[in-house]
Amino acid sequence: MDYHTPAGINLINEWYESQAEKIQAEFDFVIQEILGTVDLTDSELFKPMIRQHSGLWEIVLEVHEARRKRQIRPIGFWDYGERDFILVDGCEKAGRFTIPPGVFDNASNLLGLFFHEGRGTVNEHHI
Amino acid sequence: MSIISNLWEKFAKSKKYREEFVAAQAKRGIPFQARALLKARRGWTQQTLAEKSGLTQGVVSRALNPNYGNLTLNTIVRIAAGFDVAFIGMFVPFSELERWFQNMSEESVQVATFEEENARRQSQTFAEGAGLAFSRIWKSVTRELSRRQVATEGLQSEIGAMRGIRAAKAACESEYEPEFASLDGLHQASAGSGRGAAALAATQ
Repeated sequence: MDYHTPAGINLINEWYESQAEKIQAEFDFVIQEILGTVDLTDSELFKPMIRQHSGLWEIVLEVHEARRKRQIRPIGFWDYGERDFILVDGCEKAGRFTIPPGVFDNASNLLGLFFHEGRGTVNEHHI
Repeated sequence: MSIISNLWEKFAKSKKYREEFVAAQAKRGIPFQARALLKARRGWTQQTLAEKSGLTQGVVSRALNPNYGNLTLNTIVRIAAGFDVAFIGMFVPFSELERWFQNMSEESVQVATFEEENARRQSQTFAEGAGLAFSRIWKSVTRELSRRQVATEGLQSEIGAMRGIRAAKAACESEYEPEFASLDGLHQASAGSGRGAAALAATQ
């Protein structure tokens, strides 16, 4: 499932489309892993975010390139009471920064809009 | 390429994507299955699997990590031995990869151990053997029954014929009874006199 902003923008899709095939392929694979996993509570696939980004979860994706490991992070949140993980956006982590910058903050804002004000929409799709 | 395109559309759109998807499957697919197999074995820990595989817990931990990406064939084979299952790495068409991927779940990747398969096969062999033995016994029983039926029918027809003969004899006896009775009388009368003998001669 993915989140569309109140302005109708599908950020995760925009992020996906801008990625190289290698990242797209790994992302598609990890989504199926998530769908095929019964109990995700102690899964290595996800990490909850903390402090100001609490409520968001990141999918841990390490993509190996010739001389480095790229830390790719699709971001989303759980639709509480449901078993659905809603993808919001994606980025690459480089030390303390993200590429593009501010992705986590923006996703936190969207999370607040969705849960507190009911703004934005969630769309289901099959990969 | 959109996030919502289906997998085959993505395969068709880009050879590079196909190559990278195969690489992602090779990197993540085996750890996914190994984690699912380990989860299904209640009470097993990474340490248990390590001992059964002849590996260290650290190697097993890395092998289960989908992001590790440097799994060697030797480690995979050792882990297969630890689970007592087989491992086949083979080239397949993309349609097979697509089918496998779309069904990929912790449940679909479960496989029976050799012990489980062997027990199943032995009970199957026993059932087949028992079935074969029963079939043979049944055949011989039906053959014997059919032979006896033929014999019974023959006996019944013999009995019928004998009854017919007896009935014919009885009818014959009742029909000629007055003649027999008179003949008996003549025999008795002729026993002591020549006149009787002459009379008997006259009747014959």
